[in-house]
Amino acid sequence: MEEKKVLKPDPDAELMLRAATGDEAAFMELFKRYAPALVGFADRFFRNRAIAEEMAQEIFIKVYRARRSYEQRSRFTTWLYTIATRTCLNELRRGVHRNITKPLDDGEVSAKVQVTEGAEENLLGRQMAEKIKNVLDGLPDKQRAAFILVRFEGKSYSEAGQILGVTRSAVKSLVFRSTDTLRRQLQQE
Amino acid sequence: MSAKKCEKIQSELVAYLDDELEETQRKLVESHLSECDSCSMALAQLKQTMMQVSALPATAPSDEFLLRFEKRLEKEKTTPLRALVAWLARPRVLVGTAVATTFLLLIFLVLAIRPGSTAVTNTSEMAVAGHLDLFSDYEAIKNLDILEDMEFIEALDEDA
Repeated sequence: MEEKKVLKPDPDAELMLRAATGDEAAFMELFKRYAPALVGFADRFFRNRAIAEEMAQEIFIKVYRARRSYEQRSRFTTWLYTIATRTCLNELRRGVHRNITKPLDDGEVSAKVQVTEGAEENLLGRQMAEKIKNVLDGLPDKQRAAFILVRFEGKSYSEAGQILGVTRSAVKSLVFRSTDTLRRQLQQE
Repeated sequence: MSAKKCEKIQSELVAYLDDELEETQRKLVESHLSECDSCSMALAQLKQTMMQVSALPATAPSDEFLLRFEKRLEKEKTTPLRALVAWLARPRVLVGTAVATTFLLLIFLVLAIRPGSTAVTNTSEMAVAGHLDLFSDYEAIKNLDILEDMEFIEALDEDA
């Protein structure tokens, strides 16, 4: 199941290589493509849109600073999410933003996501969302990161392993433990 | 079914649902599930949990997000020290700087170990003392995190 070393054509990597030679438009194109998703990604860690936006900006500033030394050794998104995950985990470890929680606001919900119809169903959906988020907040950082990468960002175990700097089997274990913890906690309530 | 066997199978169920098992493992799990109610129930619960998770909405950025980033990027570009460090971080410049530094260090050492080199050392110390204000330069200290970034980026390359 390990990924082969031969890289498939990666248009994002080509944009990044253009950005490396000073093409600002290419860099901004990458920002427009991925920064909104990174806001969603960071919000899974911090549960606060303002902080999530700050994190997404910080991640892209790091990409900008690293642009000249960029080499296509993996998919662009793997590289990007490596920076993103480390930035979020470092910020979590600093502890400044930990435990800042904010109830879900309709205005913050992506239009791409279908919201449950009906007030009662909507309320139940919100309560469930809160429960899930509370369980995720209580997970160890690496389990939480693996869970977010696989469950929300749709990364394969292999790619999540590259991003987290661990083996594929370590990701398998992290994802199992986090998902199983969530299952048990939800069953108890 | 033995509890140990069930425990082993249940630890594979999430990977099974994620379609991340090898063919042989997948068949082993499916064979066990066909005759174990307890593990089948655990599978159904995990499936439900995963569906609930995938239904969670993602947070979208605010309308001002892009504008705020453009302003931050402009600020980034106009900070001279950042531009200098970015230039220094280029591989060719880094190698050149390392070679030049080593060369200068060697010259310094050769001069320092010569008899009667006190004058040289004193002169060097005086030169440093004369520019002590450079070490208390706030801008230089404020931007020291760039060096951390550089280490971070190098580490990324090693990981990739």
